[in-house]
Amino acid sequence: MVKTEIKNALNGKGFKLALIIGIVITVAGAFSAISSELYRTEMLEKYYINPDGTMNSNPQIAVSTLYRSWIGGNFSDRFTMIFYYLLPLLAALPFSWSLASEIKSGYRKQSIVRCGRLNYYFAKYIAAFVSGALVIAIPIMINYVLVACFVPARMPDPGYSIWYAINMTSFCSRWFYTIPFVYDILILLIDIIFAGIWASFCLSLGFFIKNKASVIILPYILLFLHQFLCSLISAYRFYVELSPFNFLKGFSTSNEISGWVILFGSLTLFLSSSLITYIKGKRDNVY
Amino acid sequence: MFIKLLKFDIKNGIIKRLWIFGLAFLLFILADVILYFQRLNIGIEHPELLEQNITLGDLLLYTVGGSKKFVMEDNASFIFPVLWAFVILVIAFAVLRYPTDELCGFGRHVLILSGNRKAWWISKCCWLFLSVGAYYYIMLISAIVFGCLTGATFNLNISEFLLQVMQFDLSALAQPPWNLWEPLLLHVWVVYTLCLMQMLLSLYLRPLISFFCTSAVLVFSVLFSSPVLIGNYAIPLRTENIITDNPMRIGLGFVVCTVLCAIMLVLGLFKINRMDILTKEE
Repeated sequence: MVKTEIKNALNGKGFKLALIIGIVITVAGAFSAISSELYRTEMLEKYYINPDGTMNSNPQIAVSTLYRSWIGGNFSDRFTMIFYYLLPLLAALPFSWSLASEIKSGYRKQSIVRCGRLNYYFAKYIAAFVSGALVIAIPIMINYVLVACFVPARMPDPGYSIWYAINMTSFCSRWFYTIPFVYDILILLIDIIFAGIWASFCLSLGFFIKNKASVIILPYILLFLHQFLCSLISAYRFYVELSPFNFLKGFSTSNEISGWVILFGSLTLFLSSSLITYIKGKRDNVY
Repeated sequence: MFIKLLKFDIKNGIIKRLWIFGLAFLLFILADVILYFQRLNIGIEHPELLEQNITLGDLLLYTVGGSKKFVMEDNASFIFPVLWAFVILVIAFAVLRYPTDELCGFGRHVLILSGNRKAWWISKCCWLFLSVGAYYYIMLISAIVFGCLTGATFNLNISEFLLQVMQFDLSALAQPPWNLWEPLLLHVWVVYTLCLMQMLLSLYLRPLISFFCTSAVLVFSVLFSSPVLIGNYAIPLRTENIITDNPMRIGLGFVVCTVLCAIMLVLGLFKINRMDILTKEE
């Protein structure tokens, strides 16, 4: 059942569409980052290097690095913002609508009679998670590889922390300045897991909301309200980033990113979605 | 026939869904309360700003003002205007389902019995205009109610303190007084155009995809300050009434949106005339 549902999710039009949109955004982001790095190199050769090959001033070479140019680390690029603001919609687009749709059409009853309640809901949950995670993972990895082809992976220098937007107190900053590749993998994993959990969360709302568009759109809109209210709380009290639009990126914005907030936010979504699916699924009387 | 359809749409699409406008009223009041407290907060450091009375324009601009242009700077992050996006997405979502739900249900019978598809589409365009208008009317009412309670000045001029909240450099702005009247009207007209585009796309694609397109237009508009992306005209803080550095022309905004509305009206008529309504599913 899990295999069938995953196959359905990955072969659907929603998955392909979301994947194409994600790839278009991240490839555009890669080109934007590469062109700005090439420009920086051109400036370096033109103004910082003397005719005898020596440097006439500090070229801040460590700033030009893959670790601040990929989409998760490039805080000055438009496409980074576009990708992260559309991420919850992209993650939910492939399969989160399926439960609401099947409850409405009655297809759920046919499936449950054949394979059992818990099998059916478990398969749906896993398929939504996998499709949501993949639709975010693939574009980010394509961006990373593309940028890595052109921008050298220089070791970040803590002296230029302002250029990376990662301070000494930022989330896993020690890893960023010592093992940056591992740091990037960590950010990628956080994004993938959050996207999967978000897709499953939207799926579980299908028990309450009958319209398949609403199960995806309503939580997305509420994320904006959440960010607005959280930005006020953060600005005056905690200085910690509470919005998923911002804490999924590999750099700090106006507020610091906290690992505890990421963990708490992801766990809350995971527990609420899995509990809803388990409890409603167990009590569900399809007859 | 058109009048009958329009009456039906007003009854089912607006009057029976008044709770949406009630929620919107609470949302706008919440935004006003937050601005009021932000003003008091700023007043602790800059008491001179509290001497300026809060205006109706301030309350409205805080909700629908948007943000400065995105400037690619290597060491500064850009603050996304989430409240602006939220306000537009709420009305885009509120008007998303009614036309397609109706077309898959009762509206199908209405279309068959009336035999007048054009009237159905024009009635939906009018209903959309009334819905968007009602939403922003509620915003105005909430600002007036809040203004009465807090003793605000009843004009649409913008105070200096609000532009400071929005991190503007006052020396780079147009000559005061900054009036919100025209940018606000343009904002409403742009939102109507976006919702019309969404309604038209719902006929060709699914409502979910059309909502995605609306969201994408808004996000792209915030980050690319181009006259081609109509979302920019819905950002009053980027119009010529407030900024001087490459502002969005209000007149051009009205022209672009009106032309787009006319094109979408015609495309909608074209589509609805050729659509197989019997196989249309939600």
